[in-house]
Amino acid sequence: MSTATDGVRGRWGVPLTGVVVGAAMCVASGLNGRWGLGLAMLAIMVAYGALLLVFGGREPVAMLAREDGDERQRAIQARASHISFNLVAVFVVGGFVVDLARGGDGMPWAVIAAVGGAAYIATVAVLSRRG
Amino acid sequence: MRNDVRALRLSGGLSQAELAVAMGVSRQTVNAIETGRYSPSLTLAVRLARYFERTVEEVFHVDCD
Repeated sequence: MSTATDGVRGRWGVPLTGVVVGAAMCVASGLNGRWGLGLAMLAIMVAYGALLLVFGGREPVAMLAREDGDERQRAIQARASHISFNLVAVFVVGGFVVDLARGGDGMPWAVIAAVGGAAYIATVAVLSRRG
Repeated sequence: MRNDVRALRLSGGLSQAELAVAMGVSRQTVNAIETGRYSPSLTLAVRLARYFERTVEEVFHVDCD
């Protein structure tokens, strides 16, 4: 059963999380003396949160702002995650190859690829056991 | 997968939003089912059929070769 609290959390959860993450990036960047960059990142996250709130009535935007939803929306989220993962995988492998070609050691691309690959293998193993 | 959800809904004088509330899904999902862009899960198909007091086979039509 949904409640008013669920609705507020659902509408504000992702935007507020984005602002908190933006604030953390701002502080982390500012501690290194790059307050301009930090404020720019915070502004981007605030703008993203505002976009989710202002256009939250439209289904695609509402789906970005909430993690729940009905079965079709969850299926869309799953497919979008799958496509996004594949695009990131292509980007990371491409970055790794280019870095090697330039004489680099492939870092941090190799670490990102290893984490992604390990997470994928573990997820498949767990989900296949659950049926 | 063809279905008679739209016809059954209209015959009952329901809007997409009202049917969506009754099924616990979004109005866009009802629209997607009616237009054939989304095939509902078995659970939702059964709930829709029961709501209209029909069998699943009477509401959803799978075109077999």
